[in-house]
Amino acid sequence: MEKADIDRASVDIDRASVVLDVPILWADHHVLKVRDALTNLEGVEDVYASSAWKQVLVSYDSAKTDSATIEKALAEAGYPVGEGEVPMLVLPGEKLRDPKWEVLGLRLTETNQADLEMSGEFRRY
Amino acid sequence: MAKRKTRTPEEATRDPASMALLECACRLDVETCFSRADTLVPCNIGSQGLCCRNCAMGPCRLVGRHDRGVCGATIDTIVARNFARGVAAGASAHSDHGRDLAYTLLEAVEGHAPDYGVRDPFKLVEVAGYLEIETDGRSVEEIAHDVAIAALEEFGRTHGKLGYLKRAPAKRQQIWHDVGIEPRSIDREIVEMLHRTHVGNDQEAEHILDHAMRCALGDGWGGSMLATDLSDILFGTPAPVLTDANLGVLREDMVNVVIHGHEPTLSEMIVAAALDPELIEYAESKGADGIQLAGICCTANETLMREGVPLAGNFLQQELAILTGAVEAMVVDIQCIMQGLAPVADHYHTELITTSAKAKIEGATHIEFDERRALEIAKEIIRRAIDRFPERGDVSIPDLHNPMVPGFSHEYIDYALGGLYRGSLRPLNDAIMAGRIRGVVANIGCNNTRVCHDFLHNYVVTEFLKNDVLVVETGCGAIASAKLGYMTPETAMKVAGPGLREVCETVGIPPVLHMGSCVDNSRILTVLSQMATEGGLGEDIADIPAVGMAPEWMSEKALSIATYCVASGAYVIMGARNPIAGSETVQQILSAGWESKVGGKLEFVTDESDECACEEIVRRSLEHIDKKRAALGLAEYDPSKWGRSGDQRMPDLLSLPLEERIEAVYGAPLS
Repeated sequence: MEKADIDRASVDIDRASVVLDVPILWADHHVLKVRDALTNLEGVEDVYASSAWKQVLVSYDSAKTDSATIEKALAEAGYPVGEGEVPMLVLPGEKLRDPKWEVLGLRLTETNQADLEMSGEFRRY
Repeated sequence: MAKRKTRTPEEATRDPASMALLECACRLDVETCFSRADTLVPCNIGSQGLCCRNCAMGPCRLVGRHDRGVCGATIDTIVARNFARGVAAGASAHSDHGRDLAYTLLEAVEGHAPDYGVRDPFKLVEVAGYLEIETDGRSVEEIAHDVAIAALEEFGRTHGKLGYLKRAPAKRQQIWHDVGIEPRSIDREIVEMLHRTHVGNDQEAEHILDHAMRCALGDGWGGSMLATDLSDILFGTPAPVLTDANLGVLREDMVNVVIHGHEPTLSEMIVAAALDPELIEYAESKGADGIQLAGICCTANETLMREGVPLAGNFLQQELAILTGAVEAMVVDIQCIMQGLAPVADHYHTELITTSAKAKIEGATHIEFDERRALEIAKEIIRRAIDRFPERGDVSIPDLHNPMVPGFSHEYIDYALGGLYRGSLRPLNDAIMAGRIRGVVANIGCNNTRVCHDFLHNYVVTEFLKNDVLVVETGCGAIASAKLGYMTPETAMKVAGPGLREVCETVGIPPVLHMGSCVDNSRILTVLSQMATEGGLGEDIADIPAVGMAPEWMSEKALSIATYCVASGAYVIMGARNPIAGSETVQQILSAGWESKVGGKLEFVTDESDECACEEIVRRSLEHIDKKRAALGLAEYDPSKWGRSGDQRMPDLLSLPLEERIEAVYGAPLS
C-alpha cells in the first residue's frame, strides 16, 4: 500500500458524522445560528442544518471531538437536541392579523380592466 | 301506530361535544330540541306545502280526494304560495337586519351613538362608489352620512331599481331585466309577495314563483348585501384570525358569556365590555379568572370574523351550551333563538337575556338595546353575568375544540390571491381553468333536528375536498366545518385532493373558507360576480362550475338565500326537507323551469337515510360542475395530473435517512 493511501485510510477512520434532531430549528435564521455555533468548533469539518427537516448533519474528526461535545455546543447556542417544539406563532385570542390589511387602502372587488386587456381572448372561454 | 323511536345521542348528532351534552340532558331529564323532535312528528301535510291557512275558510289540507281548497286554489297554487311566503319572511329577516345597521351608521355619524364609528374608511369609500355618492374632498363623516341615507332609501325606493344590481355581471343584469324580476326596492317586493299570496290574488304557480325570485333578489343584492357592507364599515372588514371552535372553548375558571343571534351591533359592544379592566377586576373579585366570550349562530360568525371571539357552536347547540352548567349569561338578539332556551336556563344559574326590541322571550330578562348608550348596556349585561358566577353549580364542559382560521371576506380573498398592489381573483380562475380546482361549492345554512346534526355538512364537505372542490361557507354550515377542524391550512394536507392541496399550499389558505354569517352570503355573490367578469369562466354566474347548498336547512331565510342564488344563476341543492314535495309542477318550475328562465335551478334532495341523501347531493353537484366545465371547454377533471409538488414528495423524502434525503433534494451528495 502506498503511503498516501495509508494516510487517506487513517483520515477515513477518524472521520465521523452524526444526524441530530433539533425541533426548534424551524427558521432560516436558526440555520445561520446553528452553523455559527458548530463550524468554529474544533474538529468539526462540515455542517448541514435544515430548517425544513429540523435536523443537523455534522461531519467531524472523531480524534478531535465527539457527538457529546457537538450536542453541548448546540445546547449552549440555544438549540438543544431533541427538546422543544415548533412554537405556535399566533395563539387564539391574540387577534394578530396581517398588519398590511389595516392600511391596504382602496380595495378592488372589481375585475382590473388592465388584467383583462393583457390576457387576450383565450381567457374568455 | 308504531311508537316513534327516540334517537341515541350518537344518532342525533355527529358532533362529539354535543353527544356528551345530550347524554347529560338524558341523565338530568332536561328537554332539548333533539328530544322534542323525537316526540313531535312533523305534519305530513304541512311539510309538503299542502296546507293553506291564508283565509278563515280553511285551513284547507289538500290530501286524498281534495285537489282544491275552498276558494278553488289548486295544489300547485297553494304549494307555490307557501314557498313564496317563506321566501318573503326570510328576505324580511335579512333585510330588516340590514336596515338596522344603516340606522346605526346614521346615528353614529350624527353623534347620537357615540360608541360607534367608521372603523373601515376604505370600505366606506368602496360602498359610496356603488351608491354613487361623491367622495372627493369630503370627510369620512359626510360620506358615511350619505351612505347611511342612501342605504335606507334602497328599502323604499320610489322609482327605478336597486342600486346594487349593477354589481352583478352585465349578462346577469340583462337576464333580470328580460325576465322582469329586477327588484324595485327591498321592502316593496316583500310586501308585494304577501299581497300576491293573500286569498284570491295571484293564482298561477309560475307567476307567484317569479315574484319569489324578485323578492329574494331584493334580499341577496339588497338587504343582505347592505347588511354586510354596513357591518364592515362600522366594525371592520374581516381578515383571517386564529381562534377556536366548539363547546370546549367555555372556561371552567372564567365567567362565560355566550352571545347568540345575528346582529353584530350589541355583540361588538359586549366584546369591548369584556375587555374592560374594571369588569375583569370585578370578575376576579367574584372568584373568576376573567371573562370568556363565546358565540352561537351568526352573532358568533360576526364577532368571530372581526374579533376572533371563539365559536361555542351552531344552531342546535344553543341549549347544549347552557347544559354545560358553565354559562353565566346567554345574550340573544334576533333570529334562530329557540324559546326552549328559557326552560333549559331554569335548570341552571344561567340568565337568558333578550336585547332586541323585536324579540322578547317569556321567562327571559329583557334588557333592551339602545345604540345611543350601547357600551353602557353591554357593561350592565357583563356585570349581571359576573354576579351569577358564584351561583354556578357542577359544570360539564366537553374538552373538545379545534383551531380555526376564519375571516375570508371577499376583499381578503382578493388580497390573498393578488397581493397588496393588485388584488385579484385571477389565480382562482386560473386554478379552475387548469383543473387543479374542479369547481366551487358554497355550503351554507342551518342545522335541522330532522337529520343527524352536522352529519350532512361534514359528509358533503369532506367529499368535495377529496374531489378538489374548493368549499366556501357561511352560517351554521361554516361552524360545522370549523368544529371538525377543516378551517386550518393544515387540513388541505390531510383531506384535500391533489390539485386543491397544491393551491391551498401555495396560497396558505384552508380548503374550506369561512366567509361569515348568513347575510354574508352576499360576499359569495360578489366573489362569483367577479369570477364571471375576471375572464376564462364565461360571462355570467351561471357559467361558473359552482353549486350552492344547504343540506341541513330549516329556516325561511335559507329559502330566501337559495332563491336569490338561483335567480343569480346558481344551481342550489337543499337537503333535510322538501317543502314543495306536494306539487310535482312546482318542483318542475323551480328546477327545469327556472333553469331555462334564469340559468339556475333549485332542487330538494331528501331521503330516509342521511347517507343516501348526502351521496345524491354530492353526485348531482359534481355532475353539474363537470357539465359546466365541459360547456366552458375546460379540460376534463383529472386528479392524476396534480399532486407532484413539494408537499406530495414530502412523505417520501422524510422516510429517507438524512444523507440520502439531501441527495434526493439537491441531486448530489453533500461534499
